[in-house]
Amino acid sequence: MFHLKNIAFFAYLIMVIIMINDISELYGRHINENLVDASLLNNSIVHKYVPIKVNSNTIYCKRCGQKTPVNRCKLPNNNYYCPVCINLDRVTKSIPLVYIDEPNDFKIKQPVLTWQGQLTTEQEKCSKDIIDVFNNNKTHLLWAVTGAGKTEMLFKGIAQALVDSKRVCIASPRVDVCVELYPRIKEAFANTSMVLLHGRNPQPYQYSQLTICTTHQLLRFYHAFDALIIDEVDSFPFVNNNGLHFAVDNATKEKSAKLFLTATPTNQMTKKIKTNKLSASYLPIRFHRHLLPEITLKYTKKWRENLKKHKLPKILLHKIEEKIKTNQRFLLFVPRIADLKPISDILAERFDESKWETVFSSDDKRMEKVSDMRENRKLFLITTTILERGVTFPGIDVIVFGAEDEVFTTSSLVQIAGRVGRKLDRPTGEVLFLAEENTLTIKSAINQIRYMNKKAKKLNG
Amino acid sequence: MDSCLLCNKTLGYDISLSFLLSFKSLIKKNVCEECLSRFERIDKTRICEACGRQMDKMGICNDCQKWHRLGDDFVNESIFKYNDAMKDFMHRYKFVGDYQLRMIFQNEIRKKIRKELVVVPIPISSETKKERGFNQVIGLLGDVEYVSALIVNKKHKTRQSTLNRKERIHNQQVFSIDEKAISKIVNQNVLLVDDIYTTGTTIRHAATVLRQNGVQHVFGLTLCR
Repeated sequence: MFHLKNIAFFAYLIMVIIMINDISELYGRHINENLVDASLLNNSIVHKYVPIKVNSNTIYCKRCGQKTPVNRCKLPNNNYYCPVCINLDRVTKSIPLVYIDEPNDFKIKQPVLTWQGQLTTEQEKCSKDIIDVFNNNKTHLLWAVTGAGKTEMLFKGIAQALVDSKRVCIASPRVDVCVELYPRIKEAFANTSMVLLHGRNPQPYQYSQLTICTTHQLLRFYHAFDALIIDEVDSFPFVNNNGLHFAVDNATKEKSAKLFLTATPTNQMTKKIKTNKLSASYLPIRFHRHLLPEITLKYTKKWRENLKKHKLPKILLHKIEEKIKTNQRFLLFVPRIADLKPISDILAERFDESKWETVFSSDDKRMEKVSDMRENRKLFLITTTILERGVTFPGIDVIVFGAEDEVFTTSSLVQIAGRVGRKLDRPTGEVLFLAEENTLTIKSAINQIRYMNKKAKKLNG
Repeated sequence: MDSCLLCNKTLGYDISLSFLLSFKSLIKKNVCEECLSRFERIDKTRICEACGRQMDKMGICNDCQKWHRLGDDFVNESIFKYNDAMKDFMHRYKFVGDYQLRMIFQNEIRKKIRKELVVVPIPISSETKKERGFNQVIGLLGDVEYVSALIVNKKHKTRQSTLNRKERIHNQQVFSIDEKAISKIVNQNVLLVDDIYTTGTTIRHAATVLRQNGVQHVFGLTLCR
């Protein structure tokens, strides 16, 4: 009889032993030679290179572009490996990476664009900019407020690129964003081959014209894409991560278009725009033409000390009670994973526990819990910043508890506020920040939203 | 700045005034407190006296009673439980091959080394060595001196981890002695080290080979059980 553990282990072995037998899987991707079937390796179109370069004190990994001190990555018998990108299979000096130049071997089936929706005038303008970016292989930033309808604005540009036999990738630093994006893109391009890749996904790789993946997965590609779109560029782990910026260059062809999307650009990006180092399109108004909900800030003094004494501020308890009574769905953001359980425990003493779940990044049941919320099986989620962006739950309110904590950057606070009022049938809603004190970050989030609303009012005339 | 080998978060050090005045040296950390807290130490006040597994009270577990009936009185000590954190560690260290993770438990192993015992690590097959690039047990030993007294028999191709308990126990001898090392172990007491004790077959096979080649007494030490 097989033990459960053995079966799990067996499954793992199969996963690792999966060999590459189909030559198309090497198009624009670099793979460890020992994972590729020997019969493919004799083909003259297969290129090889040694992925690790050894310098005097460091090694350089050509897959992820990162340096590592020699003493951290030396294996016995004079071999070296890269510990930085090891979660995408280990690369070593002794095993070459193999790849085939991207041939753009796609069959175009009409109609390419199966999306039937309409764009607003403002969206149309941005959409034209995007087509231009793709046609002329430019690097460009699209700066659009939360709920502006960024994804829809991409469609015409992507369709044009696909018709031109280009290989297109949409990448995001956030798994949740990819998972949410995939069905929408699949619907809009129903006749195009498509693959979704992320670390938690068991779907096997398949050569496709359209790839949706996390930015980490870009490291597996080598000069593959003619057009690369990066959604939520300002978010962790992409922002300030040199490895992922390297991945963008490595995954795209020398002549290719790169389009960055954001609702909350970093200072570095705005500086680049101001100095004309990066071209940008700007869309300050939501697709439904209503303004962004503004932030209400209330103070909760010494909340952390009180939480240790198993107490929550009255204002928070009242708010939650009110929302439970009126069946108002919401997200409650907290700073730390460690805050989830104590808060949930206190609430469980007063309210019906089946109304909510707690969610954090490495939560095994994260996907299930998010879909429980989406399908109305839960009234609210208590979450860390992991749900700050990319996910849309229609008609929700948000509360940020401990908004002064440093994990909430200006961009995450603006994103969190942007979860509210996204649909035409409820374009408003409550955005409540509870904080120990008013911080610079909170102030600038409040100001950023006001600034965009001011611009939007001008558009509305 | 150092970061945690397991979760990559930046490692913080507590450098208080009292610490500075204590003139203790700062011990270099490899792993953050949060990751470290996920590993579970075996409570030595309630273990199986033969295999070292966690029990409700001191005694001999059912598996070891079976070994005793077969006339095998091997004694093993383990440091950690094989919980989810340890499974994940083993996966990343051995199967993904993140060799730097060896540093995490080197101190734990070093504390268990006794001067009067010759340390012998369990070997790995040459195929595994080629694929993985390192012997995970030798990695855990760090700068501890050891004698590579054992070799894996050539014809033994299946990995232990692909076999179930019954198959493993009835598996034929997988190790033989390295003739060149005999002089270093004959009439000595040996501490046999492995990464994990699962059914106990591997380490017992190794112990038998050592005893057959003149070792007086063999003790077992594994990182986890």
